[in-house]
Amino acid sequence: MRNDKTGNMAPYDVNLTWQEVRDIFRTWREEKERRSREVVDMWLLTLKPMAHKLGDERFLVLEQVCLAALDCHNLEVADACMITIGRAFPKSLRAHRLLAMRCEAVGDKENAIFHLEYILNEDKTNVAARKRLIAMHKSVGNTTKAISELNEYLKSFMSDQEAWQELCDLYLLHHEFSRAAFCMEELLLSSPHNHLYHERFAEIKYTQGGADNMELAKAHFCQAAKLNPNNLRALFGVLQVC
Amino acid sequence: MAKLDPSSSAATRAPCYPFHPFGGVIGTRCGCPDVNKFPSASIKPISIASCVLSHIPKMTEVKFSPLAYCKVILHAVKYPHASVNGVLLAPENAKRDGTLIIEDAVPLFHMALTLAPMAEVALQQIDSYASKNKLIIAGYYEASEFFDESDVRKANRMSYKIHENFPGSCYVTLRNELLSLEQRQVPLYASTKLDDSGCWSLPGKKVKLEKESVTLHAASILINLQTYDELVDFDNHLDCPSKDWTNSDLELTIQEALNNPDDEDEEDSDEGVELANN
Repeated sequence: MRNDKTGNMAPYDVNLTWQEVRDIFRTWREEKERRSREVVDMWLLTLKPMAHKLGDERFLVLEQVCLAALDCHNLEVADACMITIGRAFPKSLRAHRLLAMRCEAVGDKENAIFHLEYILNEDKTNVAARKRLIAMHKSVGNTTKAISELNEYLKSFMSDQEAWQELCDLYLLHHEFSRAAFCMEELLLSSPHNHLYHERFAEIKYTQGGADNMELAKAHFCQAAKLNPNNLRALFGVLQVC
Repeated sequence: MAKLDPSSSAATRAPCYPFHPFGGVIGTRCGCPDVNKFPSASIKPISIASCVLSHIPKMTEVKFSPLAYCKVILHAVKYPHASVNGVLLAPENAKRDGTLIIEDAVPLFHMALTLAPMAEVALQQIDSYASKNKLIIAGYYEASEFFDESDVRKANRMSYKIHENFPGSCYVTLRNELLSLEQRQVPLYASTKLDDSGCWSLPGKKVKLEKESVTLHAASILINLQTYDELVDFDNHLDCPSKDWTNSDLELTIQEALNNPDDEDEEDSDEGVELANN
């Protein structure tokens, strides 16, 4: 076993029981962590032989493993998971989305779009399919189109925090700090107790510069530090801005 | 972003200003450099002044040491879904026959690369570290998250700031299509000049590598052993301050891989092979 000093998971730890792996997967699902390599390795090494014992979580885990396998371009594992899910839920749009993502993973954009549009025809409010279509623009590097589509999406689904975060990141890529700040303001409205949002907003204001922005940055860095005194970025921010 | 006046040279700028990464570029924050504001930077002017006042030849070639190359590649491979960036360090007397030799690399961020505050903190700390080790900040590297970039985006402000302080600096990009698990060619391209509009003239030239075949082979081994998990960038350090962003432990691992290319951790390599066969 590798001596891992950085506190990361040592994925080749064969001494983890299947229950521990199942719990780790659940944590990563809830926190939406993108640890695709580790998920696939741990599934193959430990959890797959005991998959029948997972009970209610079985299909959640299968979906998680499928997405991780697509991320790692391990099509064998992804296809196996998709077949199992497809047999259990033959008419499910959620399962259909996996098929669209598989097309994306092999670079087959036309079929991916076809499947996603089929899903949207069946259910116009299917948020996952709409987001996937936007993600496809980003995946080919066309961030300008992704930004405009995401703006359209947010006109209908204004409370989608994930989408606001993504839009903020896209604006930051383009150095559009005032618009990125607007996105962060929306997030702050929905979650005023989230120290990370305060800290990110403060960083954007700091980057914009100017006396007013600096005052705002100072206020939000302080608020982030107050909400979480261990937030090192907030503490450094207070130091930088004062 | 302030356009750099191509006719101004660092030699005419007063060399006593403390090294302030984003001064003057962002709003009115840093109109008046104040030495007292940045105590850690106040001891820096001397190291900057010596290279600012000396003649800077036109650097056209960039050469990476094996250590710097491995760190850059491991950083990019650690976060395949994200853009990563970092700074490059060169020896203090960085002028040798028109070749800029990059001794070391410091991986910085993998999230929100364009934001200033943490970048300033990082640059201050790196500047301090560099002068202790007789190095200077001589370049900036970035690996984009996009495989195909159809949008043209501005280069990071940090690279221009580094260029202001050291006009021979380089801007290194990683070409994703040339990056592979089995390293066969160098995927890094460097630009050392600004064009007339003050932007980096991209694409640059392919970066040279010291002991190319040995380094490429070592990099492949390190990737296969997933040594990138041990790499600590500045973002990791900010999340957990006990992690060492200078990566001194990783340096030893990299040196081992360079010195013993066929004799890496045997227990790990067996597991790696077993998983590859699954």
